[in-house]
Amino acid sequence: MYYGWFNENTNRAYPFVKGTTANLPKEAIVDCGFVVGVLGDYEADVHDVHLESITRTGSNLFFQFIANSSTLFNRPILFTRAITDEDYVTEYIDSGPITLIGDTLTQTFTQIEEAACGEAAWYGFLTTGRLASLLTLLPGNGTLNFEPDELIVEPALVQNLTNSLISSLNVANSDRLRVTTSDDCTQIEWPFETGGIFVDARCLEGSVAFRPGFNVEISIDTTNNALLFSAVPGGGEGQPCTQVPIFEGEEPPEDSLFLEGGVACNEVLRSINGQGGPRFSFFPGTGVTIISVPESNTVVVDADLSGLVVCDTITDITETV
Amino acid sequence: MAEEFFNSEWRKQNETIKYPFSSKSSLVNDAGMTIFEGVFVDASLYAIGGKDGTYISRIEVSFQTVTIWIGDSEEKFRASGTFSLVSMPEEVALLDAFDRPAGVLVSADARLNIFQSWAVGAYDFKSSQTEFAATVCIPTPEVGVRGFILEDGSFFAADVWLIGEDGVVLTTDVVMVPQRSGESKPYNVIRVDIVGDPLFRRRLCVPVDLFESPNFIKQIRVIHTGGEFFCSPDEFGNINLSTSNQGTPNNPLRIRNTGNGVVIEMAGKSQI
Repeated sequence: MYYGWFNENTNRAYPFVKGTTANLPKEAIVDCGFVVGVLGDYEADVHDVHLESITRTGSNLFFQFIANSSTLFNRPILFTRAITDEDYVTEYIDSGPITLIGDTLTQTFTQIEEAACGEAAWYGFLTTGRLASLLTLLPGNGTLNFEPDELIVEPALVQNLTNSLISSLNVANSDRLRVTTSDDCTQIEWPFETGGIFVDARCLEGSVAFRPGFNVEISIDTTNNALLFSAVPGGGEGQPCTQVPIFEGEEPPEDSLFLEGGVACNEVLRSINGQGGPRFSFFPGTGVTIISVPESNTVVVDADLSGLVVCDTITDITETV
Repeated sequence: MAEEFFNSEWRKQNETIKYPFSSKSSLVNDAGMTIFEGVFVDASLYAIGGKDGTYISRIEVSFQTVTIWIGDSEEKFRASGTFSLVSMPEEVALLDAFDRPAGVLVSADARLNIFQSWAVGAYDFKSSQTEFAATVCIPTPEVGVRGFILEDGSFFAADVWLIGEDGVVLTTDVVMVPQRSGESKPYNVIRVDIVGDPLFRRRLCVPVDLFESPNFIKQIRVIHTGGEFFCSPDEFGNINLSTSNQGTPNNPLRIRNTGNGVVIEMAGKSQI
């Protein structure tokens, strides 16, 4: 005979809150503890962790715990015991979706955990005591289901790390502003989907360094424990000679040299005879008539000699622009 | 097989002892305000950066709410939890200055209603009066980078996205950095380029659809009796309109600049 922490708990509700132990024999579970990960969305005064079910398949027992926060609800923790296990077996398990494969419930990591860069949403340990009385409730294959307000784990046994650290860094670029055309013009066709976020890297962990590229200076403010990123013309690696793509493989559209699809300075009429816009006027002088035809984007310059004294021989020099 | 050892329930057991406070805590402050045994029956404290000697540093009572502050040997107001005096909870969740979870205080059987009898005000405690038992304090050192704080005070943690926009481009790379051992170790590098967004001014349009795509004139198509041709701007985007004597030795056509355009006219005797 020996006394100790586990032994003390065989005859009381602990690790569950007293009054929530339902039909579970008190000596079946003698200790447990859970850690909610950084993405847990768990609030200690709102949510709880509880034992949802105990399933027997053959000679195995499965203890399924769930937390009722929105991000943890579908990610139970499944502990496994053999019915012949000795007292006070402790097992540490990460959360994950559970599937029944043959006679065995299996916990697998799928896209849910991948979205969290491989880190389990939450994890925990379970120490079981004597299982004999539990087996009288589950003499064969079957499941004991418990209501959410039954078998609630003592709140102090749940450590909540929600938002308590940076679990990973992800790097992306928002799309650049791209040239658009008016409705009556041929639309630009881009060889990729525009307007979104272009992901460069996901789940950066461990030591991460920042490197100043073009026109950037990075400094450290030790007083405020801060990194300062400053836009400095010519800073860092200086001025770029070409445009910097926002994702690998970014290319300009047809008929453009530039990634945003714009036109070069020498591709656009910006001035006539050195006079710039935005409005430029053609004034007809003596002997000239200027007619505009907006629907065909045409200006007709007609040297019709109107208002001039005309000789017998006339030279026709009408031009349309 | 272990033998059964009969004892009371966990919370019941703690009702009559100082737990979760240290046995040496008096639970009485200098003004004589007392936190009786059993008001709190359990706790789990894990404030990030918390130091030794975590204790209840202040209890603020208002007409509607009670705020419990915990501190330690370094920071008196490390984290706090607030609960309503109207609907009394059994757990008081503690949050730090950045709203990060810092632990939970567990009460039972509406014993938090003791604070209804406290007058409105702030009640300070010393560590010798309300220090918690070490077993409920989980060391959570503030090592590594736990979050980003922007200038406006917003805090980011967990799965953080760094997104370059408005002319800032972020890219990643892996570089091998030599270690003292002589081996090289891979490091993730985030490169920052500030290269501008040539069309950025269009973003400034409010509302955004106020901007109308311009149709630039790229060429001038000249149609005349001898055919047609295109004029493209020079490297400065300029086109010159001028006359020449190539077609006729005494070309009467004149083109002259005005302040905002050109006048095209014929030289000759006016009828008037």
